[in-house]
Amino acid sequence: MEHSTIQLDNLPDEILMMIFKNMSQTNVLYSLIGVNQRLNTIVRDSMFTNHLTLREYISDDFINPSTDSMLDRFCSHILPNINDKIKRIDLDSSSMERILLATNYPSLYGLTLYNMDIEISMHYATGETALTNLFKNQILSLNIHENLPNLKCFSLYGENMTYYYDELIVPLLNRMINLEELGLYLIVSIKNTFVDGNDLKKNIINKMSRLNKFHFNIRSTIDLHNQINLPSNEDIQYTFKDICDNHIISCVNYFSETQQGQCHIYSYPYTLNNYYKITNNFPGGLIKCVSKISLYDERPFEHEFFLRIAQSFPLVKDLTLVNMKPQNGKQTDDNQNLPIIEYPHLTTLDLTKSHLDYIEQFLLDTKTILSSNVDLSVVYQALRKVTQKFKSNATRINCSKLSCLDIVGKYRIPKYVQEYFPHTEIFIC
Amino acid sequence: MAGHKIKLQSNDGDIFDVEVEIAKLSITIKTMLEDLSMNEEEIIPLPNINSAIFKKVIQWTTHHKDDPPLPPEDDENREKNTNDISSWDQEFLKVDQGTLFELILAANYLDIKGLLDVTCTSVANMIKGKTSEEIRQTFNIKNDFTPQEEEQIKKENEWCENK
Repeated sequence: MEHSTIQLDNLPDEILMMIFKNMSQTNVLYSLIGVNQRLNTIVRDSMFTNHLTLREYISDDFINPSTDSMLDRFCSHILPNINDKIKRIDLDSSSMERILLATNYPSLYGLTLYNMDIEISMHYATGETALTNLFKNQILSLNIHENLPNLKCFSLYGENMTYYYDELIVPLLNRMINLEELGLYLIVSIKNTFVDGNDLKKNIINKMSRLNKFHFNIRSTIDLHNQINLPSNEDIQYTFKDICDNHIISCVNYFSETQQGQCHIYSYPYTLNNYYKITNNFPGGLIKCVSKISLYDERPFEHEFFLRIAQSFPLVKDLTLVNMKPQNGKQTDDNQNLPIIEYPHLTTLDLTKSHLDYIEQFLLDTKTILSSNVDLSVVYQALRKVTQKFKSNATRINCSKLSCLDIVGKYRIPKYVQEYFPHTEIFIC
Repeated sequence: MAGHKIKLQSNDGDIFDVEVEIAKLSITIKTMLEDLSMNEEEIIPLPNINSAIFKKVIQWTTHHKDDPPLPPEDDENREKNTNDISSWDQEFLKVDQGTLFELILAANYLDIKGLLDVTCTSVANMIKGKTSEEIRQTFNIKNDFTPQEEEQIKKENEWCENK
């Protein structure tokens, strides 16, 4: 074939837009701002500049603007070049100061913070710090008010437990007096009371008169020592009856061994990619966005529970189970024709803190069909028992599908163990 | 009717006998045949496509003729699958840049969404992660900024490189 002379720059604008649509806004801006006049104009289109995500991503498909050199380029050249176009920014709190300092953002009205760092939030919430002043001045430069009156949309994601919900998060939100959209995704550490509808109403909703969209996913914990009148799930549901149009899901658990209570509340639909500390009280429902789950309870998980989990999380990839209680229904299960549970997307399975009944639950081919390429973490003695000293045929099919086996509690792997897992790379942890 | 063929003519005069079902993967040709009631005996001209590119297009549509229909556009998720180019398509797209761009133009003209998606994705993957200078080198793009603007960019690049 003769070589064509057409070049990228000869393609019409509409085709270039089609190409760039296959990239994240960050990738488009990083590579194409400053190439030539024409590309500069195209990539300044609102499609690529309205809503920026300057976050550290794990995915290979994104560049990582949080690396120093890339962040340098964004802060020194790209953001000043498109500052008037930016309406919303999603960023990690660790780079918030640097990004917001880089230029003025006259059109900015939405800010989403991820991985809220306690120290930064402390500065941010308590008022008289460089970051707070900076943020306040930039937002206020168009509209002279106090607080953060121009902020209409705010989301806060805390992937780690926050210890300062009342001290930091609530005061921070109380400064956003004209907020219209709020997203609050938190794990709140031990308090005296759960974060429930009453708490949200009193501390947040009643103080935001313009709030019309509120999505949340909050898991809070209380200490059971000296507690009386512990609220039931119905009590928690009741606290939401007159404050939210959205459907609210709640799940309350009390753990007598650890003396803790846990209350998980979220507005429907579920939007996070993880769902942790699922217990027997799991309310169910189809949740396709979740890829990572952990199961925890002080009561045993029976086969029916795993069936519900597999149905509710059809795309789960990463599953951790923490439960040391033996199954009650195991003997009767063995005599019944229970449906076999399938986890078609599972790649990581951590059973190091689970009773051996659950290792059996996942490895017996009469109970579970594992997908290929699962990485299983497990204690050696428990695995030895479940596989009947690595001879059982009932666990052989699922064991043959493991790509990795991380063994805890054994320093040397005998040859017959390796032979039982012919396609598996075995690691000693 | 399976195996029934129509004649399509590239802009350099070559005539191709193409199975109707394969040709109809192009919405443009499908529209010509169905809505404009073109006679299937007539030679359909394709004024924007040369024979070399059209051969590639036929090769692609023949391979993909039994693919399920593509899902509708979803802007929210548009970045998620950009690396999902099948190995066959990856091999198919091992062509020089000019051919790749002509394939994009042909896919756009013929309205073959699958081919347009995969070719655009391929170019997007060539762009991702490159600096502006690397983009100019890779795609032979002339820098047309004024000296003043250029100086500003240089300063910024030096600053980044020194980091």
